[in-house]
Amino acid sequence: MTAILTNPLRVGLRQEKLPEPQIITIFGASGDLTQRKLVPAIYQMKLDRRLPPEITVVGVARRDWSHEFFREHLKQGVIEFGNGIQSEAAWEEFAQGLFYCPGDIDKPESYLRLKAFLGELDESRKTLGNRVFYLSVAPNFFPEAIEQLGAADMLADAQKQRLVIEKPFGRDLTSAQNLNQVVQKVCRENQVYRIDHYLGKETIQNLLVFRFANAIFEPLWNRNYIDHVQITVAETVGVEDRAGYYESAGALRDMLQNHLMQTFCLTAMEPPNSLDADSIRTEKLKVLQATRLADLQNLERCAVRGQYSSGWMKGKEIPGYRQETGVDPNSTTPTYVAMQFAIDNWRWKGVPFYLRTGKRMPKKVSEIAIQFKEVPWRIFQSAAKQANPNVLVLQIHPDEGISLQFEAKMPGPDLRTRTETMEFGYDSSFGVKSSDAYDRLLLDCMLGDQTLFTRSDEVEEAWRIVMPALSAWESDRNPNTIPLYEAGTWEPIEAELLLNQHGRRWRRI
Amino acid sequence: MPTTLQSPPMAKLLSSKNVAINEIPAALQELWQVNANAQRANTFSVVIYEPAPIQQLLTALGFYDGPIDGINGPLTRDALAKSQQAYDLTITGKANEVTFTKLEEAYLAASKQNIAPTAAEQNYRAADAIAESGPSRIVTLCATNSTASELEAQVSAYSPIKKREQSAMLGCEYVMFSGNAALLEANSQIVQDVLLPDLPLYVWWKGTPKVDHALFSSLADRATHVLVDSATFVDSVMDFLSIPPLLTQGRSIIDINWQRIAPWQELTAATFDPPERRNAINEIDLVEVNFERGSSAQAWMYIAWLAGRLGWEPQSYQMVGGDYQLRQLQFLASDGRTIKAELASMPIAEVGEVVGDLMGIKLDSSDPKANCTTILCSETAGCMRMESGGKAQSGLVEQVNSLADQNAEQLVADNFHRSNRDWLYAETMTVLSKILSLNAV
Repeated sequence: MTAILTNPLRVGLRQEKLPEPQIITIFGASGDLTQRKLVPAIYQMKLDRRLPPEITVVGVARRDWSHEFFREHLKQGVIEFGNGIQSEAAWEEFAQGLFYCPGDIDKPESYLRLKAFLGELDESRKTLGNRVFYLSVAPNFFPEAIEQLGAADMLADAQKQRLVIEKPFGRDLTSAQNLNQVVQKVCRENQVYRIDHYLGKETIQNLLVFRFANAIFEPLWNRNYIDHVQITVAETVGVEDRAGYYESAGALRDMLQNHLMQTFCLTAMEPPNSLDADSIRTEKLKVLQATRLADLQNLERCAVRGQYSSGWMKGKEIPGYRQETGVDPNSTTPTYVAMQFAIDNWRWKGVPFYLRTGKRMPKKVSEIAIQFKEVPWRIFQSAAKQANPNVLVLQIHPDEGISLQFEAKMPGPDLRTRTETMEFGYDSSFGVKSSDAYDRLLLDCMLGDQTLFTRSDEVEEAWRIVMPALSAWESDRNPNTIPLYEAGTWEPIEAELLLNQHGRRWRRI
Repeated sequence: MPTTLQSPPMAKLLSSKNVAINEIPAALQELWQVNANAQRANTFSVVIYEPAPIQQLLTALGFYDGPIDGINGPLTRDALAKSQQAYDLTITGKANEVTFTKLEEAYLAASKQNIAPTAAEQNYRAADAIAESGPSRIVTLCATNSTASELEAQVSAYSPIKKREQSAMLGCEYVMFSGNAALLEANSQIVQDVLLPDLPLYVWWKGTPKVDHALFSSLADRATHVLVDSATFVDSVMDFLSIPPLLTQGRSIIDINWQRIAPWQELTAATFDPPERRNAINEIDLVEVNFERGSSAQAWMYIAWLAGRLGWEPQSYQMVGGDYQLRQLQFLASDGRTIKAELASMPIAEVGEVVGDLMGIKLDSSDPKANCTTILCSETAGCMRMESGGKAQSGLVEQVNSLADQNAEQLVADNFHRSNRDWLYAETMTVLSKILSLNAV
């Protein structure tokens, strides 16, 4: 990939909208996210001429840093975690727009000082009062920060002032509703950008294009032709150094309720009226409203949790979850979740959607697999002597792309079939890596395009779906009831049974 | 597949009326006092310079009852079709030479007989992409044949009715000045005076941009963007020479004809996206460009873009002529290869609304083993001429579903909210100037 030169004919062809001059204020700016992701992404966009020269970043955190220290701190971040400085002059110009404003998230005077400072910057940087407030702080500070911003009258202008929140949006239905109420008290829904960085991924967006720009698949995209759908997001990493957060979250909150649920929505939703934010989000909401866990009477038949025990990966012995530093030795936090959803609508009645996500899986892989029904009557013999239904796979990671499995005749005199795949890969077709999700989402926020952000009612509806399982699991604190799986294997046996009871199997990927 | 543009519904706030120049502000102010539930949109202003007085002729002869705004919208096309029917011309709905001459004759004949054209109630049903984009004020400058020594002015106001209506109607004021071209130029101050201060201004200059034209330069100085359409340049290609100086003066010129070649650029780039073809881009040394006879502007911009992007230095340019009015060019690549290019104009029966659309592109190499052969052609033309020579077998053939005849109004309106300057256009214009000046020597 790195050896080929950029396509000179491609340069400059894309005419992008340029955001208005604005100030991005990051709360929790001393944290990793700012240094490793946010600012490197903003800087790269600046180098790519996708941002106006007036763009200004103000970091807010408790530490007593100077502007200069903050700039140097971020420069290190761009060098270490971004694409490098590239042009010293460009960095100098960019750094002139970086500022630091120390403050406490719970002190009203901090907000007043910040407000005054932003007002001064409006003058010197010509940013016209356009603001993005990015909350990169622990989720339990969200309500406080939002209320304070509201109290300081910093979110009053619905046109010019925006609020960015990172997941998690609450930790269950009640807390999500509370958070939404706090938000709605101080600003309007069209000012709020709930970032789920999964939605920034090219493949997820391509799902919309694939479904609604092609006439050949959509007629098949329903209960008449689809047997079931599997959505997998598997990680090889363990809890790493996030035990403090992960212990209270677990795989359901960390991954399934947001990333997998968004992927699920885009796979199952009806065609939107248009591409504007609310048309798409309304369709996503509709499909969520029709969705439930498949068997609410017997939760264990539609929702399985698991936790990794020690095992071997890449020739190294891996500690089990309960042996990780910072984890309770009797922890019941799930590191694996599998669920079966049922959608009660005309398109999907009777088609199960299986979602699974876990840590310490054998492979880091994310995909959506649409398995079609088998042929009504098999007249050919398969070389492998097995049923081979057609599967359409939308691969998210690694190698973003789309592949379709179909049966082909094996060379030779007899009519024997074998499964082959037609493949499309982003890399090989476009010759570029798909861009980092963060910069796309940041840019959309600056442009005021909410399409790829989650709306409050979507968040609540997604929580509603998983609540039965969540509350059942949370109330069961017995460390012996949570199924275990060995690190480096796919899932606990209970998760196998989830599909086997219907005569289906998880894809081996 | 042609899509018909539907006119958005418009609510009339003020019928068109003649006013004296110094009464324009008062007339407009009064308008918003009368219409309590409507207010002027606070967005941007548009100036349209209309050198061809087709709407006026149509109005005078009773075919047209819409506003004289220089916008060739559905209403104008209806009127043109009506007039063509009345005069037994081919009904196209387009302002071609024959129709224009006929209208002028009829107008002269009518004015000799002293028949006053009926002032039809101006029933504004139709509008167009520009009105729908929600400007605050559209100022139309209509050059006419009039011999009057003072500008005439008309004001009117309409409000586009949007699907999701906000509480108040957001209306647009129309101010129209007419007078002969010299009079308009001499009165650029009057035009400046009716522009809304503090709002962005977009100028659609339907003519050749000329730096030394007083009206043009005074408007260009204030405008966020000046939009022109090189498909209608009078002198054709030599008019391009006036653009680089304007760009270097920091003015933003957007040629909507440049945007018409975007699908061709996109597909050209796309054929070299796959990594296995990427390096073949440096093997191209033969380029053929076919275009609809009438305007070579798109062909020139395409070749200049390609040369600029691939670092080809223009070496020579000559007009060969012949059936296809061939133009031959030579470039020198940075690695010493000589690149030959040929622009051929194709006679074609129905050019559509826009003349000079690209019809076919062939990128090829004199090395038979090269993997760069690419043929792009539009559906109107077919690829026959391009495919001859047996290269089609080994090359990549793509059909450009060219959005043929992209309507000028829509393209103009699409540009209103663009805020970044198009450096690619500037680069292309620099290369094009270099090529064109080769011939001048």
